[in-house]
Amino acid sequence: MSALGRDVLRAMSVPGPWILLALEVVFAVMVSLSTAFLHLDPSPSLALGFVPALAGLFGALTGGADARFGSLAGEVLTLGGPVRYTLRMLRVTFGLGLVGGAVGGVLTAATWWATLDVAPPAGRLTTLVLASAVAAGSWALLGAALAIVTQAQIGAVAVVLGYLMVLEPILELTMTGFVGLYPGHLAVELLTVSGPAALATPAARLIAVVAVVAGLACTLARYRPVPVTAT
Amino acid sequence: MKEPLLALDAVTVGMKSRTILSEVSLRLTPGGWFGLVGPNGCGKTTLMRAALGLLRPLAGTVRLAGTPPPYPTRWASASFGPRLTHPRRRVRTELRLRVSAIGGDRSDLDRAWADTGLTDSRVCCGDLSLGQAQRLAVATALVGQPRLLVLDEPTVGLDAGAVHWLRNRLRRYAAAGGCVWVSSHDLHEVERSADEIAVLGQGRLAYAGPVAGFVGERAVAVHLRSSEPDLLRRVLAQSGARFSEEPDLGVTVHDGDAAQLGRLLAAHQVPLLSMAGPSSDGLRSALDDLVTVAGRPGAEKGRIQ
Repeated sequence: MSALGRDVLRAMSVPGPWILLALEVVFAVMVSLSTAFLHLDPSPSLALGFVPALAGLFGALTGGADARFGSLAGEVLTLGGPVRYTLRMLRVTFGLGLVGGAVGGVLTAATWWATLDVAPPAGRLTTLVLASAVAAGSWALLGAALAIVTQAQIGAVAVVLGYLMVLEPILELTMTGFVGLYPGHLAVELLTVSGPAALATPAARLIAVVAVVAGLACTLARYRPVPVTAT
Repeated sequence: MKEPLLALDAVTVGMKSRTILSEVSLRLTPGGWFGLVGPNGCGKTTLMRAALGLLRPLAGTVRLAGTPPPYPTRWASASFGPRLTHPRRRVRTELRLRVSAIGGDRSDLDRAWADTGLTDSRVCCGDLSLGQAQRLAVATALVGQPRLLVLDEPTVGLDAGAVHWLRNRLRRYAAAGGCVWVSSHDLHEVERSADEIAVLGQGRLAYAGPVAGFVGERAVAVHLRSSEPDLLRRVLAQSGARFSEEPDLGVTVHDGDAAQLGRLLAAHQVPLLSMAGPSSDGLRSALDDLVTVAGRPGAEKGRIQ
């Protein structure tokens, strides 16, 4: 078994977190179908609107599980140090988020394709799939990074929800100059772009913001004590 | 003399402006079984964490086979207690993940599974009893024959049969060149199994060496109870005896000679309710003695004349 395969098996071997990714896909399909039956214009931001929150929660729950259940020290020793553990955790949550987002995007696109009377513009559906994948992957990684920073699963869940539902809306109203750096705003922007050309800027910004948080998680993991008890 | 596998030099650990360990130096050699004992809160787990690179010492160095932490895979493994696994993950999957992480094969998985003593491969970690979970924790730590095996209180929750299994399994592991480092309050088991012990008291290393040396040095405490405790204390203090006192339990004279002490108290007509010792309870008595002397503010030092 490869290292990535092993990490994927580990993340998926417990019920709970991965259900959030499945929920994200189901929600996207349901909204797409409802939109089609009501003869409304397709709305990617509505169909995939829960991608940041659900992917972020998936990352927080997966990344914080070892701290919560006390298996962090054993895993750190097995993998060869806290930084290596952190990088592998971030990699697997990003990868699973990416796949979950891509599946949600593909099914949303397929639903539209099947229900629209007029074929969508060229590249629109591809853009949708890519945007969904990047948004979900980035938010899953962000959630896992926050879990590693807080060393607490429930704490990370609270941070993800608190940020998306309370802090970012306040920041968007009060600090408008930095809107282009807020990960929630960037994810929505990503999901509403109309073509591949417009995808690059919000995707790059979102990945850059998430990379900064991931870097912080790696730095803290290197210098902070590793707990040996369940939190 | 064997080269040490784990070398701790003047390790000092502190958290939140509080010093937990002060200048602890220790050497563990391959193929040995080492015990770490001391009262609650003396820093046993903290010392183990520092040795494994799970926390950074304020001062001092830690080396495993000459290498500072973090250690490569298969060098060090640890169990810090039962029930430190995801409760909804299957036991078999938990072991498979560990085996896969260290690059082990099917035989490693089968060996680890046999170590757990379980038969139902669908059982989840959260369904295990305390003893079964403890055994799983040890079995998981043993996967891949790491060079250093650190076990924190591994006998908690184990029945007599499981303790017997643990003892034999660790003996096999040590015989194959592994180094066992066990912290425990089960002093009888430590005395029976360990080649050497380290004794921690108030964050300092009080003793490191063979178990027999520690017990032999200290198992000479004499416990006294008198109907006139003030007189007893006065006579002992005047004689320069090193003693400590516990309310309602009497006085313990450390490093005392029972016969000499009896003559001294008879000469001063000190009425005795009881006189016991030297104790024959080996490591426990010796450790109690050490903790009593180190931990009591009123402990007096001297020698019976």
